[in-house]
Amino acid sequence: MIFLQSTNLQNTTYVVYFGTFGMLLLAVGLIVFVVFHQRKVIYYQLKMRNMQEEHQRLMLQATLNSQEEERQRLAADLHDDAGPLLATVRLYLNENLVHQDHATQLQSIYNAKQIVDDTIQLIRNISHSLIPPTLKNFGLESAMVDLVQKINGTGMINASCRFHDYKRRLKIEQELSTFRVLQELVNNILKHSRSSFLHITQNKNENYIYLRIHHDGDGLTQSEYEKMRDTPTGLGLKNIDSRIRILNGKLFFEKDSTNTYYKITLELPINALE
Amino acid sequence: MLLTLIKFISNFIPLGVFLFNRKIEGFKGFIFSLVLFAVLNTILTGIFNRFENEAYYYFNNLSYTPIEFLLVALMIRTILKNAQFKRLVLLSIPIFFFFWIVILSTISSKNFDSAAVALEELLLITFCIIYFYENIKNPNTIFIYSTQEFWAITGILIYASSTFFVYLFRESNWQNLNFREQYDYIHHCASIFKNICFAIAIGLKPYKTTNILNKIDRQVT
Repeated sequence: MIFLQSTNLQNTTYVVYFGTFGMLLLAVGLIVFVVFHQRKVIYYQLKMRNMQEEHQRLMLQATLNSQEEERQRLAADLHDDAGPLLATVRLYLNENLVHQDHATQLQSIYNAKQIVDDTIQLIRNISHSLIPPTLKNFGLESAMVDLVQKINGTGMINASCRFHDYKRRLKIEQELSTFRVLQELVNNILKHSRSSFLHITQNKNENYIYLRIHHDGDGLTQSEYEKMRDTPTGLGLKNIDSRIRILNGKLFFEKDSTNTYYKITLELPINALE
Repeated sequence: MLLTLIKFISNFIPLGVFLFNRKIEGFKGFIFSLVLFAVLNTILTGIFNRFENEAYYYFNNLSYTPIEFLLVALMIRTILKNAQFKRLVLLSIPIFFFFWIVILSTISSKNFDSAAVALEELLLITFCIIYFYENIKNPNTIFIYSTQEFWAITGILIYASSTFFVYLFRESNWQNLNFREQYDYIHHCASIFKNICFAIAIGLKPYKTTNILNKIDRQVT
């Protein structure tokens, strides 16, 4: 109050004018900032939500396409392989068989039995392609070792697999999802990377299980993976992503600092799996 | 003189809008009370001023500042969503009243309570900033200016910011005619703007959705 009373009149006029102008400027500035900032925030939120929706839509589309492809493959296998085989069996076992001589009957029955055996094997193969029996009976480690042995059998690439700490098995559906992810990743490496070696390892700490694939071919970096995953094509990568989401896991694509090999790390949280 | 007349008439604009929009409840109730109080105050101040009565000072010091602060604080409290901010506004009321009594006890009955009004304006500016902060943190609508609350708060913020210095210097410089001119000019312009903002706030329809994204969700599903 003393300050207010001691200020001379000329100064007061300036203080009032400039003070009022300054306060007004700040107030208007604040209002304008809020109006524009809020719009910006909401547009950003909407954009983020749209992107998430688009990503989910692509995921769903990928899942549906994958299911459809699987059904078509099954239908083709059954129609093209099992169908003709069973039709042949029917030909062998037609009603004329009873009117034929004993030797011909035995030969026809033998042939029919052979074809039925082939059909059983075919159906077993189809069933195994849906869920590998090694995985079902012996777990992820055995299934991966089996997969690596098959790859080595081709002689095109040197593949190896080592699980360091996998005493306790995951649930069968989690193992299957993990196996499918690894299988797809390995498949991609075989198809696109032109690598000479492929090494799969498993490690574990208190919270996470780590599955790593190392290879020396042409690999992907994290940004390239995300870019390819979010394009409308790239069904395999979308399937990988959706399976990892189900497992609450994360996938990292890295290039070694020495530029000699690529590393893909699948990180699965133990709590979410148990 | 013309500005004084426009300012006086502008007091009735929000009241006129109220005639077309008669639902006076909650947030609008406070605006209505504030506008009605401003009109009554203008009329009574005019009467007291005419007779150069000491009652003008008593009336102004004892009623206008505390009632105006109380109404605006309660109005802002109804607008705010965060419970902590609501408590802060509520807590500021007794604190303000304490300082107001202290300030009143130090000035003579014929003095204008500049310090108390300045304190009131500072508190109101703070409340307005809290409102805007809350809206930045949790946006409710793309067009914030389509809400009643925005216009009411804008009116209060612009009024409080514009009149802060003239109120602060009013008591010490009231004998200066230049200052009086300054005071009238700034005060009247700010009051007119506030009344227009209040009229817009009353005239707008309430914005119902709590979150624009939820609204979009509902439209999608």
